[in-house]
Amino acid sequence: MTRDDEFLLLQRIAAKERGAFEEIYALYYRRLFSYLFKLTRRAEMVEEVLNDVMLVIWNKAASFDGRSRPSTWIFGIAYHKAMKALSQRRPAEQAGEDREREVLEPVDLDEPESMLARRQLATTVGRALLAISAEQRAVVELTYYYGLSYQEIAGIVGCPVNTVKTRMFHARRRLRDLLPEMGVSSHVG
Amino acid sequence: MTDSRQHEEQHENVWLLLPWYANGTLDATERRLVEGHLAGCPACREEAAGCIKVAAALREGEETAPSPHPIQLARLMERIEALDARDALDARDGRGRDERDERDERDENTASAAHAASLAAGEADGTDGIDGTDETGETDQIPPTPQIPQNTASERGRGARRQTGEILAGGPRHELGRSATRTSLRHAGVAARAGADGGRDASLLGATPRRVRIALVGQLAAMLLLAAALAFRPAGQTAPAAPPAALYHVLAAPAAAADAAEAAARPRIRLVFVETATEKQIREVLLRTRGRLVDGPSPLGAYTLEVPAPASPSVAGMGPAAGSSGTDRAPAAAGDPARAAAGAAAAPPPAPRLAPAEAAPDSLGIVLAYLRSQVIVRFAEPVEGAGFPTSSLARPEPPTVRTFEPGRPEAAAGAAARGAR
Repeated sequence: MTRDDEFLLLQRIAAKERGAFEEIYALYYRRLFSYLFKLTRRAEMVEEVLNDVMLVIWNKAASFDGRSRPSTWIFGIAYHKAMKALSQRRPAEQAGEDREREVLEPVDLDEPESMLARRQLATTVGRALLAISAEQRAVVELTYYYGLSYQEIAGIVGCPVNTVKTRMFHARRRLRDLLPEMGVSSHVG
Repeated sequence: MTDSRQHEEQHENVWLLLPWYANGTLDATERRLVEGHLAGCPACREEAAGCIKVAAALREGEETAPSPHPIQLARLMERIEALDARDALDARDGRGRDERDERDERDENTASAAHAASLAAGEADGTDGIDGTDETGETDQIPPTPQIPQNTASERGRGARRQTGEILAGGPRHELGRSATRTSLRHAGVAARAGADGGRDASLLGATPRRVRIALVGQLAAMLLLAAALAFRPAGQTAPAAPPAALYHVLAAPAAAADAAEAAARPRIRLVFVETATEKQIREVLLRTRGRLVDGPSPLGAYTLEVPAPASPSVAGMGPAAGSSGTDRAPAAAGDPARAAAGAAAAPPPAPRLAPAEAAPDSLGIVLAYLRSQVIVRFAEPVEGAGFPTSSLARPEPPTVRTFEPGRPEAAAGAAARGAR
């Protein structure tokens, strides 16, 4: 599925064609699931946010004009939905408690989301990422996992490139504190 | 002195860029700048190495996201239909976006912001980022030497800032719209109170949204109808002397008390139909099995089908699938005409008769094979412990009967895996 194919799909969705929507759903479900989990680190939140993203695609496909990649548009929507969902939950829990909460929460081993969570938590870096803010985490994941340029990240996140660099700067400093083993003096993996 | 100042500035600049040097997405100019600086700056070299390590560790926790279950899409489509219906209603009533709930407004904000932001990402960056990352794993290796000479970063940076300006300009506008709505709602509330205080129903009615008024009128009409129906009911019918003849029976209960013990021994099958199955198709399949739906639908759309007692002739009419699982038939035995007849119906002569001990799993096998051969059946699995020895579950099923809905192998496999648990 090329960029043009996806653009055509979005145009058909703009014309309210159900079949095209189902195609985009099938095409993006897993990518969005994994992306949203990386951003939120909340397995229970992913499904709902994913549905919200899909609803926006259905409602707003007409506003996509093809000047950027469809994936950039969709992942930008997903970023904003994820941050919104997190900010609605945040009053109840401080950012610092995130890490404890995730680790202490009992996991249902049969749930696919929990399997995902366990795999994520299995890595030291995955655990350390729980301790930084969601905005910083997003930049870290988009840079290191998705291998995007800072310009592309600015596009998805919807902020100036300097903000992307600054968020990354703070995230790196935090991660360095949390992961002394990631320094040059000792090695990992 | 100015030299060290320049060096300091360069150091800060390079330090900020190191993660993207590590992931290989810097343009040629920036990459040359970083490489030139790294040669003379041990701190930056160390940091660059750290970035590469963190990046590698992050990708080590490679995960596989679950595939979507068709039920999830079905639920989403229901939501979409409900929203579309509401939008159509709003459009008919001539309502603007102001009166929609906040969620829509949020969607709007998000979408426009994301879209404006996506424009800032620049035209057709050569690097393929998010596209297909999961499937192809193309970001698995970081190219140590990036090669993406493109328009300069500052140009793209300007683009991003420009677009961000638009986003910021867009924000307060929506905010204003929302507070305007709140204000008008407050006015409506004040008007309603004033109407109630003055005893003037007209102003209260005027303050009530038209849709609410329609709903209220509808409710009133329904209540009047019900009251009328109760009032005009003939007196003789208020206390029926005896329950009516058994035109129906309750699905949850056995048809007759005598059957209770037998019912406990009846095999049960968990059944999921494809979404497009019509009532007629479902009825036909169920009639053929002579089974009854005794439970369901579960939240995932699974029904529980109770199939007839072992070796019933009813399983005979199931076509080619009936022969496919007749592997452990007992040799024929004389002196049981009824059973012999059943056996004869179930298979062509010489009729192998079902031995009582094996009858249950075997007839269940036939029903299962039949169900699974049906296009409208997405998934059929025996319910453990209902009317047949659990050991029979361990028997591998004939591979030919695993016919699920074509075109959706993932979903079907997922459903089967879920059911097998």
